[in-house]
This record gives sequence, structure tokens and C-alpha cells, in this order.
Amino acid sequence: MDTSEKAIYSALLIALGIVGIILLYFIISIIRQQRRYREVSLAKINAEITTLENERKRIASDLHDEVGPLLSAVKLQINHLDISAGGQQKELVEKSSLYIDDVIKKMREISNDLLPNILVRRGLPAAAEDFISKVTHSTPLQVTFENDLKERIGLEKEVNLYRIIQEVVHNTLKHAKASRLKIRISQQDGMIVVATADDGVGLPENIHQRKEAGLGLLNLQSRTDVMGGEFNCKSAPGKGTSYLFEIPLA
Amino acid sequence: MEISQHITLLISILAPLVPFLLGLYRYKKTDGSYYPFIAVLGCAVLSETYRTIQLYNYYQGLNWPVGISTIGYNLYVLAIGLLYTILFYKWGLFENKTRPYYLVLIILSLAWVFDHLIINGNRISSPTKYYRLFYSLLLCLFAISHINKLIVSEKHSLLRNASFLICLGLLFFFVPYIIIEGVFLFSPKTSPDFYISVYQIRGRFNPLIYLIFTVAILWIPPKKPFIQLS
Repeated sequence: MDTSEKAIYSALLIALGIVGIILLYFIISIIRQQRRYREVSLAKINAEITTLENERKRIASDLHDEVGPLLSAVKLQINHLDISAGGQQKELVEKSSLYIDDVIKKMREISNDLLPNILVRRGLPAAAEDFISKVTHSTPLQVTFENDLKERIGLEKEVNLYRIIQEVVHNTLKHAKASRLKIRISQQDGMIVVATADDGVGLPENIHQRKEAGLGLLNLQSRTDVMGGEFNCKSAPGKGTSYLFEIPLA
Repeated sequence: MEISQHITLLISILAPLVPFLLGLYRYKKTDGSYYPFIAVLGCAVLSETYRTIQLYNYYQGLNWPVGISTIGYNLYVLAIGLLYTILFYKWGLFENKTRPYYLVLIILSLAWVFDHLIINGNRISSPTKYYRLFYSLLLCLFAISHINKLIVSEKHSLLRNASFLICLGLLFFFVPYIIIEGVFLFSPKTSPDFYISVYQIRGRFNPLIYLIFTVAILWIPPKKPFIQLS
């Protein structure tokens, strides 16, 4: 190398050294920033979901324990009214009694939707099966449910997974135009795996940019994040949508 | 030949070979979006072997048909430019929109052809220097965009994310590469000694980059057990 080449070579070495240090600093700062962001966002989602579930639990309990007995008492009193005269008043009392029956039934449904009793008592598979059988009876969607989960996994996780299944079924009913949906819960390598597949129209290409459509997916992502799991979605226009949730057991 | 030169040659060949073989070993279990990266490593093995033979001949005082090696390297840079673009597309850089993706592939190919036909006057044995600068810059921009996306989307540690490590390797490889290619572009009449010395700087960077790629290969997520509607 001649003198000018040596000068270029030295300048090159210095330039590469400086660029290397800048790159290293850039990468380290990104890793630290992501770690902070992850902690803050996880805490935020956790707080939001916990508040939401507590609120649901409180409303369900208020409806079941306070409003329910009051309505039953009103019904009892109406039935004891002296309506021996018959005619219009008797018809009115009978109608009112039927309305109260409807209100009590509806209120039980709402209370059950907010926090299903079966979920608390018998766990996720039973609750999911119950929910799916209701959907299959009340809508044209045919849902197949498979379960390998044998033991309870903790109420918090069960509630989150139950909400995930509900959200997937609602999304399928609302957007997918599907006739069949398959849901499988299994346990593999210390993970609970919830996998679903439908034969619907698939997600649109720009799903993440559409606020209203992306909200359901965000909800699924948040619930999965809270449990420290992974959420994956596979979809193509006209080829259906598959969701996969992998949640660590520990 | 000195022992240090033997070691340099050995490291040059082994550096891309290790992650490539690991990638092949894990191929069937690997998430399909990473296949283009394994193909990139395969191309790198071929290219590094080619260059190592070239360097070996230089150390032995033998001449090597520079034109042939340039043709090989020109094809290599085109292939990896396209493969990395496919890789970033599969990672969702273009938000699954096919139009910008095909546009980038076409622009890259046209830039390569333009460099050959117009700038080099259809001499295939001349290096495609402008294309090399262009595709390196493009890949650096892709890597930065993907890292930005990962900051908000990754829920675990970035250091355990294969795509982050690949982007990291790309930045550490292509930023010095741009500087070095820039120097060769603006000072074309350099001696072989200068060329070899500069090449050796890159040679010292390469094992570090391929080490990052090896870790990335190990962290590539397995295929997802999606179910089918039977």
C-alpha cells in the first residue's frame, strides 16, 4: 500500500470503529426501551383486564343476589293478589307474572354471561362446551369442540381462555360468514394450546388498520399477553381463519 | 502460507457454514417464514467458499480469474437482495400488501440490470457497485423498520427473537459494507494489497455476524400447530 492508500485505510478503520460504536449504542438503547415498554404495557393490560373482570363479577353477583330475590318476592306478592273477581284484572296479573318470569330468566342469562357459574364450578372445558352447545342451538354455525385438558388450570387463566373462546366464536359469527368452526383445547409441553379453525371468508388484508375489526384481535392479543402466552393467526381471503393460543401452564 | 492465513481461510468458510447446517438440520421444524433466510445462508456458503479459494490463490501467489469471481458475486448480491426482501415480506414488513412487495422486487432487479447494462456497458464481469450500495441501504432500512415494529409487538425479550437478531446481523454487516463499497466506488484505482487489507477488515467482522446468525437460527420459532377443519 502506498501512503495515500494507508491514509484511506486508517480513515476507514476509524470510520468503521465510530459507526460500530453508534450501532452498538443504538441496539442497546432499543433493547432497554423495549424492556421498559413491555413491562409498562403488560402492567397496564393486566390492570385493565383485572378491573373489567372484577366489575363483571360484581355486577353478576349483584344481579344474582340482590335483584333476583327482589323480583321473586314481587312475583310472589303479585300471585297472592286477590283477583277472584276475574276479568281484566286477572289477565293483567297473569301477564305481569309472565313478564317477571321473563325478566328473571333474562337476568339469569346476563348474570351467567358475565361470569358463568359452570366455569367457576366445573372449569374451562365444561363451560366452553356449554357455551358452544348454546351457540350451535341458536345459530346456523356448526361448532366442533375437542378437549384434552383433564385438570383445572386456575380460575384466572380459565376466565381469560373462556373469554378468548367467546371472542373467537363471536368474531366467526359476526365477520367470517363461516358454516363450520372447530375448537380444540390441548396440553402440550407445559403449555395449554387453544386452536381454532373456520371455513369462512378469512380476514381482510388490511385488518390491522381497520379500527372496529381490529378491536376483537386486540382483545385476543391482550388476554394472551396477560397470561404470558403467544397468539398467532393464519388467514387468507376465502380460505378461512385459524387462531392459535399457546399459554404457559406455570 | 502462514498459520494465521490458514486460520483466516478456515474461519471464512466455517462462519456461514455453521448456521447454514444448523438451519438445514432444523428445516422441517422451522417456521416457514424463515426459509428465505436459510436460502441466504446457503448462498453465503457458496460465496464465502468462492472468495476463500480466491484468497488462498492470492496467498499462494497464484492468479485467479477475477472476472469469473465477479460474475459469481454479482449473481450472489442479486439473489440475497431478493431473498431478504421475501424474508421481510413474510415477516409482515409490507403489511401483507403484495403491490409494494412486488414493486421492491422489480426495482431491485431493474437496479441490477441497469447497473450492468448502462453503467457497466453490458460487461458481466464488472462489479455492480451502485446496485450493491443500493440494496445494502435498502436492507438496512428494512432492518430498522422491522426493529421499530418489534419494539411494540414483541412480548418477550428482543434478544430471544430470531428476526431481531437477523436484523442486528444485517445492520452490523451492511453498514460497514456500505462504507467499504463507498470507498471502493470513489477510489477505484487501488492496489491488490489495499483491497485485501480492506477485505480482511470485513473478514474479521464476518465471524461475529455469523455468530449472531447462528444464535438466530437456534431461536427460530418452530412451526405453529394450527389445526385444520377436516
